[in-house]
Amino acid sequence: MSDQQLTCEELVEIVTEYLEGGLSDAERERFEEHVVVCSGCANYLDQIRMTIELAGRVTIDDLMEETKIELLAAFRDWRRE
Amino acid sequence: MIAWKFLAPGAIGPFSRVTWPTPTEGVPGLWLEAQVHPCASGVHACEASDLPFWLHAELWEVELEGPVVRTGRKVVAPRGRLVRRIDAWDRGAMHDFCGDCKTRVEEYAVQSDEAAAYVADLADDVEDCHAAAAGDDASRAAEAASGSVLRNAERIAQSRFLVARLGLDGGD
Amino acid sequence: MDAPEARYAPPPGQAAIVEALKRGDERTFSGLVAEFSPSMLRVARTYVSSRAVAEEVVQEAWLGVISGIGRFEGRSALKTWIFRILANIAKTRGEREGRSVPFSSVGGREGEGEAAVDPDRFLDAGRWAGHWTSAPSRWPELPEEQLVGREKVGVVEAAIAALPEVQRTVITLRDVEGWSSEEVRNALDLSETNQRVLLHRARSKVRKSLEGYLDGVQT
Repeated sequence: MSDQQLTCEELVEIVTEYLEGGLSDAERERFEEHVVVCSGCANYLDQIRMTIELAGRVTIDDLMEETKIELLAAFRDWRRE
Repeated sequence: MIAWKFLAPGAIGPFSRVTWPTPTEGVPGLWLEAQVHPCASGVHACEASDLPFWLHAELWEVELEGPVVRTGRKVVAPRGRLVRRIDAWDRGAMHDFCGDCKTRVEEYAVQSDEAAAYVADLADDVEDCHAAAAGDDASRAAEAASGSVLRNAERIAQSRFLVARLGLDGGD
Repeated sequence: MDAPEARYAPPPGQAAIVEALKRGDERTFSGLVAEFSPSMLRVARTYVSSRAVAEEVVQEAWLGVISGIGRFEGRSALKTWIFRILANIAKTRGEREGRSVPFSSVGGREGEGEAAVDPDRFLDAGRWAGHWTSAPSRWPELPEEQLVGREKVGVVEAAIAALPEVQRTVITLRDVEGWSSEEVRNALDLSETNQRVLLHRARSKVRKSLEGYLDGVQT
């Protein structure tokens, strides 16, 4: 089963696969077993989750207002055709 | 079926981050439904023999319903609910669990120098009252002393200690 | 694996949106422009040399959407269709500018050989080889209110801005805009593995920056 234990150095490289649901059942269990016993990796997993959550609060660059107005005008013209 | 589940403080699934509905006045919590997928989702719990692998802050008795699949060191079902919290799993019990592991590691240490190296780790675990780490360190020490057979025996000893100390009925 | 389009069932509500667009409903159109343009700008930016050109590319893509909507049959998601139009235009513009296709050698150039965490943070020998020398600390919980914790968001924003272009696009679509991995793969024409590697590198670096800020760990 999970005889070969994961190291912390290995865990930090598969954390994305874990969160993306990309690990096999056995790999997933190995990952979780490690996190249960290792507070450093439990913190690391939390940190990655927090990183994702903070990224979700970032606002990104948008089109300029003029461009949006031009696009709406083009849409109107198209409708009239 | 009745199984066991360790949760983070506040009845939160340590991996799923789901907050489990808790029982009130002896009435079990609401059913938590999950689509059973052999890979990931589904309600996870464990049998007594696997308790040492999942030690966490709170221990709960759970009722699982639907086809229960045993996979690796856990059981997965489409539905589950919390029946009662095992109040005996408290800081004192964690401390005793760590101490019990440490006692066995000291025995392994007599057999092998490699195992002896873990005595210090166990002392740290006792001090931190980190039960999961103590269980893991003890299983590593057992393996260092005499291979996977002793490692498995160590995990069985841990599970027996928990069942007895916490008064969990039903070995499996 | 790419989902074959034959099996595709459009998301609920899509038919109504497409219908409204074909009818010339302005609010629906403006809503889509507001929803998708930031992501479109980001995707365009990976192909072309400047913010200004990216703006033109996005504008051109929307004009393409307007002229093509009458022929859209709903065999793929509207979003996928729009981003396909965008990618075609952006690619053409990028080639004209003499830029190479950014995703062609993505696995090698932007993924391999980078550790998520500095190897010095792990023991390299002994019983505990591969385990933390200095373990990550427990960060304080994030407050619910969006306004609190702006400095942390600022750190994340700056870290994302400093990423290589393609990693930056992947993390922006996935984590900032909340796309599914499948949507990202379709829009950027990436394999599942490449998408994951890029996302992994991006998240790892952003975490590292946050750690530098929160714990004063040198990065």
